Amino acid sequence: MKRRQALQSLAGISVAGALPLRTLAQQQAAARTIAETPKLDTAVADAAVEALHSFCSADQFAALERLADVLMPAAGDSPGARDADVAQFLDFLISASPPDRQAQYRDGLDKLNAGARSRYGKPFAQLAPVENDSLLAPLREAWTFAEPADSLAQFLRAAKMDVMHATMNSRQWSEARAKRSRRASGLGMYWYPIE
Amino acid sequence: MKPEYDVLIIGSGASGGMAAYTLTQKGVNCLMLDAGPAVDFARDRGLKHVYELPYRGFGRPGRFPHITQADEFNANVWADEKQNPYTYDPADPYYWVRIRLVGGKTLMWGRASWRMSDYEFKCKDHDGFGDNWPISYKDLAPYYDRVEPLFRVSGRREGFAQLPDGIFIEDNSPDSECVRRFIASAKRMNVPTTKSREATGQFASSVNLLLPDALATGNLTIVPNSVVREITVDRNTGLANGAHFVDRRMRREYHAQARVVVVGASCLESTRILLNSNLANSSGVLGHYLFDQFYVKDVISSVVPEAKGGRASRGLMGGGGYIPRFRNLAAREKNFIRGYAYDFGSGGTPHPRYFPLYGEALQKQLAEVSGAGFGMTTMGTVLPRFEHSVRINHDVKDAWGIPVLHIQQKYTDNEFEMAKDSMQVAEQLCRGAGFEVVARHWEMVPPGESIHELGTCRMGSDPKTSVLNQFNQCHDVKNLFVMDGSAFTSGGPQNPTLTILALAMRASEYLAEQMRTKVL
Repeated sequence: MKRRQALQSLAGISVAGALPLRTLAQQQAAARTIAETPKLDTAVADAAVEALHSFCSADQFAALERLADVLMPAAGDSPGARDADVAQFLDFLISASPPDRQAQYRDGLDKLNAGARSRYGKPFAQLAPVENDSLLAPLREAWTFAEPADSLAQFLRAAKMDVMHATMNSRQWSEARAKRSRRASGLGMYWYPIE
Repeated sequence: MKPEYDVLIIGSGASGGMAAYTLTQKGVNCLMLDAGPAVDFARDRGLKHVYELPYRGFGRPGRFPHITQADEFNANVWADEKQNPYTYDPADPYYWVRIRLVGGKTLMWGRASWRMSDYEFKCKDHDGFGDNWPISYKDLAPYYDRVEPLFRVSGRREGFAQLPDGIFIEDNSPDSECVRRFIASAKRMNVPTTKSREATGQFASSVNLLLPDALATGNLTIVPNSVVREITVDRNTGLANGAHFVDRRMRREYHAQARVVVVGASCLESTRILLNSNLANSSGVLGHYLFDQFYVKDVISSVVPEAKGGRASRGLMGGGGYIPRFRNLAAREKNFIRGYAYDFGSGGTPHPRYFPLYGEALQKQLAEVSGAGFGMTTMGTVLPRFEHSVRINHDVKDAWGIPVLHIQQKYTDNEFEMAKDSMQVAEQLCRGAGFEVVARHWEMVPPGESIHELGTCRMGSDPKTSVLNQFNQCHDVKNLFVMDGSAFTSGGPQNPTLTILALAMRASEYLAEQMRTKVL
């Protein structure tokens, strides 16, 4: 038995299961390979392909898409919610959210559609802008720290901020900002999972 | 043969780090356990665009129901709430914010560095409520004097009795015009102001300012990923002799042995360890008198009219400062006791939620007030009360099988009245400076959210009514020291970290002397 095998046996390590020892030259070659391997450019899936809806019904999604467009339209060279695929993103985010947030979105979108049908005979997504505005009256109420009592008003408050953040945190927004300013937009220090 | 240790230190943040820094330089051989891993700053952090994150910066929904400070960039810093559960009465939610990494919360703290005064240490003498500390300001002042240079605290000397001056990197930077207007408004109302006092430098943490020097002595061994179950006691002597702990990753069990045990695991974790160890509670007050500072975030949001529409002249906007406590100093003047402080700052943009607008109208409004904002946040004194407490909930265990805490704290009329007063004064101050008020409110964040939890293992002169003596030493177990915020008898509106550091330095020097003279 060679010395290495003997030591492994004494330590209770099976020879078959032991990792082969590498020579210094092999280790240096492996380190060189790692250092010389380029970091590949990759794309986020959002930018490359269409996302599937996982939360909203077709009616709800259409209302969400319209609502996002009304809350955060494109302005000048700033992309709007539609450019930033905000409805698709929020559909995903809400699908992964706790039940109370899911219920808030589901009920809110249904109420927008029900209100639109009751008042104008068509779903929210098909309303003219002035008709959309009539259903968004709670957003024109003065801000209070306490949540409004009305559940539609609560939903609209939440959606207003979600749509803004989802737009301003999008790749499209960042790229538009980069074109008119040298300051990076949306760049932050990320903490990786720590072992 | 494993090394023998003089002192076992549980925790590596402000108090554990300072204990290690102080003890090791006096030749004391220390073993430090921390429940989390050590950060490799080159490997564990990196710049990313928010759109590269899986949830566009929103974070994984439901991951941190109680940590409002968590975002998708820093989510991996905070203690996982599923692995580290706790309970509370649903009517009184408590937001317990923890970091389980070597360095603890000093990895993320706001760096605000204020001294406390005898308005806090001798609070009962002043207004009759609660208990005095067993020390006074003059006992701690020499330690503040040494901690401030170590943490490179900047500030401006003012001579305020309620906010003692320190050894500062003098901040004589000029104020912007809007800040000068605000200060003038405050003067007219007899409200004091000063510059912020903050630890400076690229980074100001236990991991760069305390632990490297401790390690350099050769007297410190740090074992990360060590989740302490309980402190162990020698049955013959009744003294602590170490701690049982479990490895965070592979659940392997260990026992660390030492002559003395120092607990600095953070306020509530330290008390949890003591309660799970059935130690140090002959007084019956261990776990009681929990308090913190209440925060009214954005108590007021205003704009400087001359800065609207991008018309701010050079030097109009920017900068901020601090208003120390000014209520109830000379005499009781309000329908509450004690007082509150404010942070104020200029140059931002008011939050979109405040404007009853959406769509293009909101975008135009935000563009109009961009950079014209002037905001304030209230930090208020919370009274320590026996009924605000933590206890062990044996029905719920963490990921390592250790019983968790049940936490009971809520704000009472004294805090509510203080918060309402702070809103009214903030509005008067802003209007007096000629600012337009956009929004105001007095509602506080839930208890715990300020991350300034204090008490539950309080210091005191009487072993019947306190857990620790004036040197953070357990009345019941003489070789057991608790050096973090749990030791506070009372507090003020000042952020507590500087005081925790000074107390830990003072207690560690006392401990080193006790060991040198063989008392311990």
